[in-house]
Amino acid sequence: MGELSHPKVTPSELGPIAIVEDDPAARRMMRFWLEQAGYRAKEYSGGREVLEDDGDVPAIACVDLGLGDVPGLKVLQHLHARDAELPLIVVTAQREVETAVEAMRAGAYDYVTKPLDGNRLLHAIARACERRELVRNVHRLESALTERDVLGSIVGRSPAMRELAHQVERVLESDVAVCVFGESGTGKELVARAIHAGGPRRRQPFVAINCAGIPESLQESELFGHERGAFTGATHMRRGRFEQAHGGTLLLDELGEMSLATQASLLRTLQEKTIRRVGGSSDIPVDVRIVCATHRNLKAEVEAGRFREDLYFRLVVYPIVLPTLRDRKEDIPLLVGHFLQRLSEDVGRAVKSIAPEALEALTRYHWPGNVRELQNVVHRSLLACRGETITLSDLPPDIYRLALPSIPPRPDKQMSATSSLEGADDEVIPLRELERRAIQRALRVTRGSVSKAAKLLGIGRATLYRRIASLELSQDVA
Amino acid sequence: MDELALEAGSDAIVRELVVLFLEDVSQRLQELEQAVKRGDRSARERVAHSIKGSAANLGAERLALLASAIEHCSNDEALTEIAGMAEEFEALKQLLDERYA
Repeated sequence: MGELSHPKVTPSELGPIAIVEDDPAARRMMRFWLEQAGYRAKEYSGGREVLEDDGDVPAIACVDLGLGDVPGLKVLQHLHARDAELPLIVVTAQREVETAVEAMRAGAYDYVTKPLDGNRLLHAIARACERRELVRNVHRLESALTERDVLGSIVGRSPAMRELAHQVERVLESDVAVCVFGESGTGKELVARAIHAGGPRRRQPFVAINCAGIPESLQESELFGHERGAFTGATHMRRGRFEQAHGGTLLLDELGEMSLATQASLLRTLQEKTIRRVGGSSDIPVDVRIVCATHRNLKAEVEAGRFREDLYFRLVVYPIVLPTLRDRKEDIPLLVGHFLQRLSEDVGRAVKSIAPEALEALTRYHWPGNVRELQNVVHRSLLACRGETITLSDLPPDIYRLALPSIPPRPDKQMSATSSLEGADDEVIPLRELERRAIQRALRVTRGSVSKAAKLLGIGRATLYRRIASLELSQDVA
Repeated sequence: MDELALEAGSDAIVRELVVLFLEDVSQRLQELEQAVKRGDRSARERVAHSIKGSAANLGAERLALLASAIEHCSNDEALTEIAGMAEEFEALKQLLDERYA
């Protein structure tokens, strides 16, 4: 046993290992070996006992394939269905290895042959433990990633984002009706998810419905479900989003697009705390935290008669207004870093950084599509990027154009990232002008730092100061 | 049974295994005999198969071979084979009783 790499979970910390074996001596033998190694064992003398046991799923199961009462494969399938990640070890006679292969297809992880060999069995168990740990780590990592996703997009260093974080914190514990206002792409759903994930309902479902994506005629059945035969095509009873979100949080996204008829039903639901499926007659109690989101000015919608005032006052108790990305440009580097890290793994590129002038261009852009647009741009640039660093030329044209000097882009000739220093094919730029552009650019990239700019340009600091004075560029110096 | 598929260690567990094995096989031998007398082929195959497994697992090779024969032969042949198997089992039992009693 010395060569075994020991799993991080010690045998005694592991839950019981199920031994499903109808040969009493073999069963006892396996139990003996397992207990000698510090594991706990639970014996089953046949398959039926396993099928009838609805207690805790074991940590690992060793299943003899040649059981007398129930086919071993059926036992495997049963255990696999109870817990798809339960490591199953098949025990089989040497000559029946083909059956073991079949068993592996049914979800078995490993097999040991009879006559039983203690070392072989314990080795298989140790490997199964390692795998179990691995699977758990992956799950832990995944949930950590999801959390980071939620927070990553609402955490920024700008004052606007700090204020937002405070606001979100204040509404976590109670069910106060939050309405999130913000332009498209500012992360309204992420805020709603953060409110759900940070509060006492976090282990219950988070369900979102986008009212803009659903025709008015179907909004009610989406929200409240429908009974079988409620309308043409309703061949089955269907639970609505309210029922799906029971115990958890329901996000009503693009609330401003909800029809007046649906608004009336929603108001009734909020008052009664029950729903009635379309075509149904019974009132079903629901316990749901509602979070709304919209890009519209709901107050104006109320004044225009498109949104019920009474519903407005119920849903907009605590408004949260998301800043646009152009109002928090200082967060752009942080967000770019966040997306770079996450997306470069997704697209399988080892892109590690972004060139300063490319970042500069990103901060100049006005981002009508907000954080979502930034994420898309980073994604596209990653795909375009050939090296380890995203450069200006990897950015979409609309954006890299912004990195060029303040001369207006010539409408007749397309500019490339380098053309500001070269001019178009037939154009000769005076040296003095080239020098001015190069210095302006260096100062912009270094945010006006003369010593850094001098380094980039490959000249001394004093020389650069002289040239700046001569070219009257002192307004570009920080 | 010298090559008992157990690392030595505790005599107590070996003794326990031997007892379990002997009890189990003696009960199954009865089941086997009844199945053969009834001419119940599938019961015979199932019980013989399980004896074969138990025997092989503890290194009782000859018993395992006899069980395998009974698993695969005709019912008539099984009638005679089963007597030989009972003899082999008695001999084994005596040997084990002497050593582990």
